[in-house]
Amino acid sequence: MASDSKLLVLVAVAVGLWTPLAWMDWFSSHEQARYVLRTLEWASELRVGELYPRWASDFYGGYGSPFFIFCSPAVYAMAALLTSACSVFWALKLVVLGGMIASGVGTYALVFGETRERNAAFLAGIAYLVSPYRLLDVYERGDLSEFTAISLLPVALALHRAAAKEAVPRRASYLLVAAAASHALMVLSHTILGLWGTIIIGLVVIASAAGLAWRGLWRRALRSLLAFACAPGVAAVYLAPALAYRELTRLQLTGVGHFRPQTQLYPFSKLFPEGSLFSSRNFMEVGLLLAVAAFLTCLGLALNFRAGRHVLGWWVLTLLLVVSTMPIASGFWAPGRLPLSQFIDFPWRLLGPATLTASVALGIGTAAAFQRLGEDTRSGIVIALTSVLLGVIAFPAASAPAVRAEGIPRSPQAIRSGIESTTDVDDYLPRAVPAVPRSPAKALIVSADEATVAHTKSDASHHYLTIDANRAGASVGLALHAFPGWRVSTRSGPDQATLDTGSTGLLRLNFPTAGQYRLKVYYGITPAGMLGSGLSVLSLVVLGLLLFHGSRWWKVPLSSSLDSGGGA
Amino acid sequence: MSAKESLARAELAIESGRALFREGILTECHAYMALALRALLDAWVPAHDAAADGATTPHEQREQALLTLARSKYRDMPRLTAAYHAVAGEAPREARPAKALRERDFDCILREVDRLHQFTLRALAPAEARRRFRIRLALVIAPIALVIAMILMAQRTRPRVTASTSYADLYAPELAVDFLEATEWLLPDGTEGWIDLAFRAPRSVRSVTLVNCHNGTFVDRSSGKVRVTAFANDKSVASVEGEFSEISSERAALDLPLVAKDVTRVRVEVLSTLGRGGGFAEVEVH
Repeated sequence: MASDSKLLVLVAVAVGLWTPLAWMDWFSSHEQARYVLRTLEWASELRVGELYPRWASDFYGGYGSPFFIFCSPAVYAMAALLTSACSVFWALKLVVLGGMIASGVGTYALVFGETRERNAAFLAGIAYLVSPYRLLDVYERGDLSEFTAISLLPVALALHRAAAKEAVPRRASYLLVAAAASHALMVLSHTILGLWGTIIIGLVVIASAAGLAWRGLWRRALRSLLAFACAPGVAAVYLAPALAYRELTRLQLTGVGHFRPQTQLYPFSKLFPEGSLFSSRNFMEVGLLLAVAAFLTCLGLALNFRAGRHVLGWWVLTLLLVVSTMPIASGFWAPGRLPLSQFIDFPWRLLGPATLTASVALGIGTAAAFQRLGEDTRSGIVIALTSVLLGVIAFPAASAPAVRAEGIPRSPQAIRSGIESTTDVDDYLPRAVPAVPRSPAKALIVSADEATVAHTKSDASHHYLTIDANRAGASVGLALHAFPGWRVSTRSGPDQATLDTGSTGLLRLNFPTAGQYRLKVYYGITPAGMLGSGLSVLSLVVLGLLLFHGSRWWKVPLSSSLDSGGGA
Repeated sequence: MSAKESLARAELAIESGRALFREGILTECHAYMALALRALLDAWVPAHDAAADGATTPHEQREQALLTLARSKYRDMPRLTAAYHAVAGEAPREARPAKALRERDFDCILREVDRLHQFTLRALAPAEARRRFRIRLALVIAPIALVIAMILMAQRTRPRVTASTSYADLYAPELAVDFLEATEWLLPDGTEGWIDLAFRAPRSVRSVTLVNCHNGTFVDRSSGKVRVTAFANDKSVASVEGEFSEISSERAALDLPLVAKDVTRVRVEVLSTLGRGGGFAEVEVH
């Protein structure tokens, strides 16, 4: 990498596009400071020993929320780890920086793998970096999870394509395992884009596998399909409980009204700026990038069809993605017509992957169009195009109004002092809870029936209680929203205390025998979580086997033709 | 041809084979990999005055090379021998068609080329090159290990914080150890108080830096006189006092020497306040 000057410049541009974030505490966006709050919650759970927290204990004024069961955890997990060394704001900014670099490098690697032409790869990398949807995903929408997912998409695609084109089996195995890992991380970053990104990766993997099978390389084709299938398996640790407990929340609120996909379709004209080119700032305005890509693709096909013909597949993908965001695709998003089609909220999210496939097409088209020119001429053209893209598209997009840290809750206590859910429609509020609490919980204990609470201590989602049950059947109500996963461990006492759900959707401790109980109430792993963890471990084992197949630890037996010394 | 030349020829053939594979031209890819395997074996042909005496044809010389490799503890010689015998006589233009070559054999030959290439690189690399490789590896691994160690250390050594009281939850004591001077722990109006930093393990202390509060854009709060006390298991082992002179919107820090060993807790007391109340933006124990 160090010897590839174009790649270094690309990384520098990625860092440059991130730099505005470095100058401010935080920034104003649609997501406000939600990511900060979520990361603080993850970090506070991490500090009490929960490696994969599922419960946000300070949301809803301390009543808690199963937020992390349903919300993709990768961004919070990475940022929370970084909070050990820096502030929560910088932790999130560093995750964004990683995403910026991954977008550029991933697209560069993808196009370089397709064309072996560094100028074209550089231009494609820049095109994706300046994509208005990708940039404004951070600077306007503030959706860092979606941004991370669309940043990892080119990485996963590049690794899958590189594996399919690699002759040496050892290298191909490494590439496949890395592809599956980046794909899994994409799914863990953003569920919706993870799903639609998986479909895009799946199409590319199927096309690559078909190419391998066509040449008689069936084993390689099957290996790439296996690696692709393992990625959702690795992410099952998150996906399984998220799917299993959907019905126990208010997730039905999404997919209706403002969140109904059919109400979020926009005409083609919406992809182009309405006012001045240099001041327009709308994440949907990807039209200019698509137009440049289309022009260079046509030029490439006209001048050098043989080299540029691969671009057609990428354009089919681009057109499918762009058309699916328009009113003409209304039938596709109709409820009940296609499985999972409602699982998008806003179809315009697909403009993110569309700009990636268009950037790849732009790269391949450029490589074909300028293949016969000298290196200096090609570099000159690419530098000119890069300057135009950076000046016209990136310049207005790469900034956001600053927000001072003082206005943002920065500790679990501060989060707990308000009614925070970090969602618009309280979609993760347990369904058993009749309404959003009006005020924060004053104490852990809300009621005691024939019981005296001697001592309580709370550490994130771990609560320690000493309770004297005055008679058999005594109960104590806790200011904690009930949800599958809550457990009670009786450390000492005359009998085992049990948990159930009270009439207001809060947890209730029951004591079958009179006496003093020392208890720990905590949010643990659910059966679906265990199933998901098992699937993830199994997928990791399969990837491990894929890595070691053919190595000295797992030798492939010689075929009889080779063993006899003669070959086929 | 010297071993180095043979290795260079083999690497050229491997790169050619990989490029052909990328283009889907398998027959020629196989032929170039066969060429690479033979070139790699040529790198192992013993010097003329040693064991290669009597081996006249290239094939005989490569058989000698296989013996040398076996003596050099090359793992799984039968696979290499089988792969070599399968491609012994093939020139690029005489390569067998892809359909005649089963995928399993193709992969097996590619694996042997790769394995022998790695082995040859390691064996033929001069001591200086191996040393340079190890240094480069260390240069890559060391910063990563250092960062991981720092993160773990920071996680491990971050003190638990408690305070006598706070102005509000938005100004909790944790904000005095969050590495962010924009956030502050504030005491209630006109109240003296303390903040305790309890370490996870006893540690030595050399000094304490107190960054004063000023209550964001209001600039109406500041600690005045302060006392810092180090405790070893609840026994006071060192103490020092200091004073902030004014409320300032600029960063105001006080470096106080506090030398003690086996410190389990540091208490910073606000003995007087300026403006509406005291507090700290950061408390750093060195």
